[in-house]
Amino acid sequence: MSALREILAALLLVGGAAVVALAALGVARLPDPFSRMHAAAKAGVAGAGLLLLGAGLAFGTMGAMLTVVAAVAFLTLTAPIASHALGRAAYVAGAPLGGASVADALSGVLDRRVFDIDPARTARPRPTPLATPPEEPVMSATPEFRRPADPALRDSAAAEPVGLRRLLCCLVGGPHQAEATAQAFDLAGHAGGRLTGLSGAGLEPRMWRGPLPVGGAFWADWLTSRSRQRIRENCAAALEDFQGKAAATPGVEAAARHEEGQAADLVRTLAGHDLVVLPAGMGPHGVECAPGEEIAASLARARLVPVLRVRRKVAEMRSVLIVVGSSPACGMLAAGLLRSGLWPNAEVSILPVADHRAGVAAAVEAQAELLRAAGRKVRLLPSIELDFELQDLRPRLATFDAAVLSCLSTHHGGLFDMVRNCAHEAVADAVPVVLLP
Amino acid sequence: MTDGQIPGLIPWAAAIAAAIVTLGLVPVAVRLLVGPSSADRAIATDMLGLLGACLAAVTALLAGHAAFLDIALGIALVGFLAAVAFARLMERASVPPVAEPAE
Repeated sequence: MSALREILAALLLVGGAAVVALAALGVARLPDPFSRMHAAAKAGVAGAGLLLLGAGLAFGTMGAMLTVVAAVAFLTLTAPIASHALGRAAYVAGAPLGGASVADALSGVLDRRVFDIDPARTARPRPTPLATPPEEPVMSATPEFRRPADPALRDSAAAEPVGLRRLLCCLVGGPHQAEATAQAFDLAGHAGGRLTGLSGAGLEPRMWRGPLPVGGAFWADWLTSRSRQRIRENCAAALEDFQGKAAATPGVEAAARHEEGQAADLVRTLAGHDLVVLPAGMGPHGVECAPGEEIAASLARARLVPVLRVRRKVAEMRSVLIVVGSSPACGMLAAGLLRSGLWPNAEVSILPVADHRAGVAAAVEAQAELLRAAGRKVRLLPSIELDFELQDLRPRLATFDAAVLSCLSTHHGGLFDMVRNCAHEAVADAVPVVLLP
Repeated sequence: MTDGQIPGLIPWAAAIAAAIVTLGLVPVAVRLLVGPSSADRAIATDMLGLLGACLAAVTALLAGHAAFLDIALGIALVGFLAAVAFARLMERASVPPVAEPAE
């Protein structure tokens, strides 16, 4: 039995090798690509299959036979497909028919084109890069209002305080809305300004754009209407709270209205105001979201009006923190604080983030000088590293009543970005009031 | 039987098969280098994949390790993908012929 198996295996091996070698000879010798492909597909697969079967038989074990049978089955299944695709592609690519061919059955069925010509004719012209100036890498919901960090804002003339004559309080609901409304009334009462409560602006119902099963349009509509209903309920509660507070504080000239529109419309309604007060943590769909996607963050990116993001109402500001990172917008934070005229008696601390990076130390010095010239008490904190520990930073942040930031989050998405600590987010989470000038 | 030398007829047959398959590599290589059109070269590459699978099987016998048979299976799989990729490339990247100016 064993001898018979060995003889059979040896015959299969040598025979398969001979057929494969003949197929190789055919690939070299036959006149045109189609007949060459015919040799490679049929004789090649037959020879390779025989040789593989011989090898498996020579081993004689179950595993070897299974592997070999799988390989042969795969070859016989795929070789027709592969050679069909190759032959069709060769025909389309304009491979020449041999002199022995009597008819072209595919003429008029497939069009023949050209693949093998000199590369100067086939090469597509390289797209020339557009000559646009490099922009700041900020994503704004309202690109028409984006403007670069103005260096003129760093000198003292731009730091003249602007009175808070018209305040806007966004009523978007959420857990911190009552605190934000109270803070807005407090500010308006101190500054003698006019307060407008605007509900519903900047909120848009969440549109479901992903795939949905059967009845997809119906479910998408249902989800959108649910989202819109929740937004309106939030706004109604916030408006009621606002009216109550307005009745309780007769010294403040307050008015409220409801508008529905997208973030861009909200920015247009902002135009005449000096400060916008927003509750912390509310996203554009009326639910809480990450700091980088809040309404406050997108408003701050528009850089039209200073934004005050309130987590908890603070009656008297004693210490303010300025976080200076390496982005150019961090160089005008002190000017923005002075211009807003907020908290004139508070002590200002400046926290550099990674001051070994370009421009951070210089920005800290310039802003400390500007603040001292304006008569503020300034304290410089030791720099924190980029890979700081959240547990170390939190107790230090707990002593501050407010913070001045250039943005709410420096995360841009991505795999490694999720595990990175962000100083701006940590400060925004820990400090009750954040000013985004 | 899986490990170590296989006695008797098989090593001789495997050696002869290896020699024949290796000889078969020569015309395919010639076609790959000479091949007037890209289709010829793609077909020669496909054939080289088959020869590689055969050589892997023969190597399994000569080395006495059945694990080389898995390599033959892998080469067969990859060869199919390569053939389909070449076919797609040739079909997509070919351009309509330019009409020759009438003399």
